[in-house]
Amino acid sequence: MFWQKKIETIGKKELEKLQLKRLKETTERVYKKVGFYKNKFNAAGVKPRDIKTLKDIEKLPFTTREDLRANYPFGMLAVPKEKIIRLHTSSGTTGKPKAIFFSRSDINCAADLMARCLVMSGTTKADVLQNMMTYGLFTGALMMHYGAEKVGLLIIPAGPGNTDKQIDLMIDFKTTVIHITPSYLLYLADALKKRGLDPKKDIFLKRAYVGAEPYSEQTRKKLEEIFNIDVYNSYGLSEMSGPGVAFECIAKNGMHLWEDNFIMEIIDPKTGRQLPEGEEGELVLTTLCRQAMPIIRYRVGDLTRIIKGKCSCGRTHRRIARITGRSDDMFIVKGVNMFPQAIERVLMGIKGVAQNYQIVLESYDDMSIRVEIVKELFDGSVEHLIALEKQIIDKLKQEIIVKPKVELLEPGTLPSFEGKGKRVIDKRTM
Amino acid sequence: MGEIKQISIFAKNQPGKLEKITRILMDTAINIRAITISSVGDYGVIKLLVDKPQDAFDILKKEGLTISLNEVLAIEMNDKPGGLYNIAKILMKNNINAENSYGFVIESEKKAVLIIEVKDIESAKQILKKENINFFKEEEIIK
Repeated sequence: MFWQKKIETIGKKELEKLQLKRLKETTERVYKKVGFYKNKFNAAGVKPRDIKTLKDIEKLPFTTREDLRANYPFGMLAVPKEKIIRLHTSSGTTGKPKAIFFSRSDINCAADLMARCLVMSGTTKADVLQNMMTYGLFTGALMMHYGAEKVGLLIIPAGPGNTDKQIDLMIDFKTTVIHITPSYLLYLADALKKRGLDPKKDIFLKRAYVGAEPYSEQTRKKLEEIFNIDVYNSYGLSEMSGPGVAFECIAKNGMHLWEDNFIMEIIDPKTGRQLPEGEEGELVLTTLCRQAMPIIRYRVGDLTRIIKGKCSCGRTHRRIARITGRSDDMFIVKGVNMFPQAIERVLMGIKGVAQNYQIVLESYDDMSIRVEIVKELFDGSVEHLIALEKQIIDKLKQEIIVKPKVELLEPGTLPSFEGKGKRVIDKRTM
Repeated sequence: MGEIKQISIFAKNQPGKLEKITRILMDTAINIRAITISSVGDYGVIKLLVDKPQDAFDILKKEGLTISLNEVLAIEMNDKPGGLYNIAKILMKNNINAENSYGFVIESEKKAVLIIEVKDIESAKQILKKENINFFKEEEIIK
């Protein structure tokens, strides 16, 4: 089953022709309309007319997360303000958020990509979708919603939480498809069992779109086993349009990345050079259809590789493998992107906390911070230690949203590092 | 008179920690008169009264421990029923809050001591003196 069969099965030559045409249009437009890109292209000594083949994309400069932040709020806009109909912001914990704008055609385009993903993974208008992602500034829930509306199935916009109510809805309206985070899906299994319900038999679920947090292949298998359903891996980011950038088909062997909408490159994160197809490196994406806020060669930071060869489903858009990690030190807990530097900034602002610290990721929902106390400030008072611990928790929660556990340690307990050391201990299996 | 020196050590709750501290004290011939451990989750604070507090402090600090030396009050009690009650009543009446306290017997069925840690040690001492409370001298406790 296809949503847009012609484009989904487009031949390689034709696809490349389309990509080149759209890349030329995009570069010309951003050069004219976005001061940031004009300056950046000029600094790199490149003009839109230098783009003659797809290979020429390498001449263009990268766009980084920091660029988006520096140009907050309106600096990246390529259309007049009256053309934009939606703002999303990207979660993050290093200072300012990223503002992502959508025009009407951008929303429509994102919804079509999502509809392709749904149909590709077996969803039809006969299904019932319970959308358990957060509706709000985050693109995940809304773009899934629009995609499902295009396909024409019944949507229950439940949002996350209130698990008892979720279960009632799932039973009363015979929900067959859910959109959910991996940790919430695991929690849902326990909640069903607590109510004496068998996740395999007593609900009507057929498939789950699981995303927003990284999870391992083992976790997918486990979830499929617990519910006796198909779990589909997906890839997306607000900067590129949201959740439907790349998605698995029923073959579940890599995620088809919609190459008519995005040019993907895999680069060596150190040199910035393109790597041969099949080698693992950092994913770099260029938007080809975005009107409000086109982005050129965006350094996503996720590590993956292109899966070589044809897919049994007949789609020609190349697949990327499950994300294996990050080229920077960003990590995700409870769906919130964070950087060790943000945590460090908070810790170093607290009197009584020494230089050394460690972030331990226990699960996708829990993190603990190990901090050494300052030897000279220890006065023997247990009350003061408890107060210090509480102060650290409160200040961190304000900054990173997630409430961490805090472990106070004697100075010298943690290994000390030369310069920028490995501060994050990730106990989760990627 | 009245103030005696107490050692506080910050330590992770793990086997071997107390062994290390007491071994160091044994090796330097320091005698322990009293010990308490307050534990809060993963860590705790060990409090010690020893016969040579300054020496003990110096050696433990040199061994890299996170340690502090502070003063506590050593209040004299009768070692008989109601001994502690009499003191507690006076502390309450004068609104003196002990942040940490512990007691032990000095001379069986005669004298016991209540160690208290208070925020303002000097004013607590003055108030308690007016209530005719006796304090131990340092040498009476730690020798």
